[in-house]
Amino acid sequence: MNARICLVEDEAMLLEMTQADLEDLGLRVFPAVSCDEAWQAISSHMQFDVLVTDIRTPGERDGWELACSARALLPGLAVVYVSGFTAEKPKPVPGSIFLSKPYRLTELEHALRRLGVI
Amino acid sequence: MLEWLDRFLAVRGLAPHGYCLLWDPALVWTHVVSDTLIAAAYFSIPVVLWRLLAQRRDLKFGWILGAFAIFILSCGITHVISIITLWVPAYGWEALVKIVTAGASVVTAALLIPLLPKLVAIPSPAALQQANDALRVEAEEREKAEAMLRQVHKMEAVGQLSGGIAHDFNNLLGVIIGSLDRAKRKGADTVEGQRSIDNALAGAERAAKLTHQLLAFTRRQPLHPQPHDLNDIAGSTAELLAQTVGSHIEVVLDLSPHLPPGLVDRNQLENALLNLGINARDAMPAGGVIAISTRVHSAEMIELAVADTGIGMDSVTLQRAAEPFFTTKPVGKGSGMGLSQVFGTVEQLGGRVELQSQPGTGTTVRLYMRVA
Repeated sequence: MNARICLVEDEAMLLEMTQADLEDLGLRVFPAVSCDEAWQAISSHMQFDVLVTDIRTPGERDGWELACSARALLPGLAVVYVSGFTAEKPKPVPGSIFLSKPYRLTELEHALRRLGVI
Repeated sequence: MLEWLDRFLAVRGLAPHGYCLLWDPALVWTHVVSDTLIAAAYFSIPVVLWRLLAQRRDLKFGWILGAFAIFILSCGITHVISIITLWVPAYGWEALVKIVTAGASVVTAALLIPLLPKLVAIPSPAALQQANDALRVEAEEREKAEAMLRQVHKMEAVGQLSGGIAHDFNNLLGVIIGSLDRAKRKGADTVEGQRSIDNALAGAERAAKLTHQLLAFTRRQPLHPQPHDLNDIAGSTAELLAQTVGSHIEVVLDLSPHLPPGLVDRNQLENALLNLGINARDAMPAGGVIAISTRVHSAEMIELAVADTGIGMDSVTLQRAAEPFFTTKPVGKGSGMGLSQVFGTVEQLGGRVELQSQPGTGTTVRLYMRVA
């Protein structure tokens, strides 16, 4: 069974590319351009094994809040945060991994392996 | 008393002065000529002093020159009387004039003595020139310092945006690195590989554009108001802001198509607009719209407005908003210099600033700039 991933990225080119990369790794990807869009999917009971989320995206909630709320609904959810720059204090959920942009695909792959997703 | 004075002044049976000289023509006329010359000279001096005082009302201790004029005038009159007393024994009148002269001279002398140290203290023209030179050097230094301060403020503004820039730049690097990684995996001659290389190039070009805009913005330029198209300035600042304020904020432009050129310093005005943009961004943590607009206000003024849909300011905050160092931002986030600098810049360019704000609705800052 291929792992289901929710991928949040507001930079369109990066979203498309990362989706293709993750699909190459055999993951089923749900792309979202904002944390709000991802939350809509998660709160409407879409099932995910892993959340890879940007921190700052357009809309109300940021990546920290999204992961926190998502964990409440999906207790086994693995979380990877990715960000190019964040001024706020990190508020990660337990057992999560932070990657700073730009990162290589191998780094993301390694993180997903460590979290047991692939 | 009057009777006494009458008697004192009466020309009594005294001998005229010429009699003492035995009416020797040489002696008499020597007296007449020299007294005439002395009196003429004495009378001319008060005229000169009076003209000097009239034209140099700023002159220090002018009153002492006035006292001196009275003194000299009465001296002149004694010499005229001396001529008269050669033939007419008006010695009472001569005495009276001498009393006046004595009074004026004693008063002038008494006033002059305590004045001496003050007169000595008046700076000489050389000392004044020196002070003037020092002042000019100081003015030049201040101008240099102010130019430096403006540059520091601009760098500070850019620094405040650097988080946004780092974010965008890292995203673009992510696109470039990820796309090249992908092209390498797929093979450069495959359709997928070619597409990835194109993506990497597009990302790199966007990154290059970002750095160009930043460099153009931070370039140091001479501070001279010149005719500029304010629409152009609004447009370029909006572009930079749009790239840096974050994707949760939309930057929109509403430019009047028939705008006369404004008399501004491009560098300074861009800096002011950028500062207003940063304030607008910080007023909208949950996102919103920054609207930059231009319109003709009057024959002499162009209105340039920056409006946000943010948290706004209450009347107390609004009143203090332009004060230097006043800030509502957390420590380390704002210097409190942004808006005060905007006021300074605009006023320096002969314009004015108007703030309008409503808590919960947003803030509009209007800059009225002079038409070139």
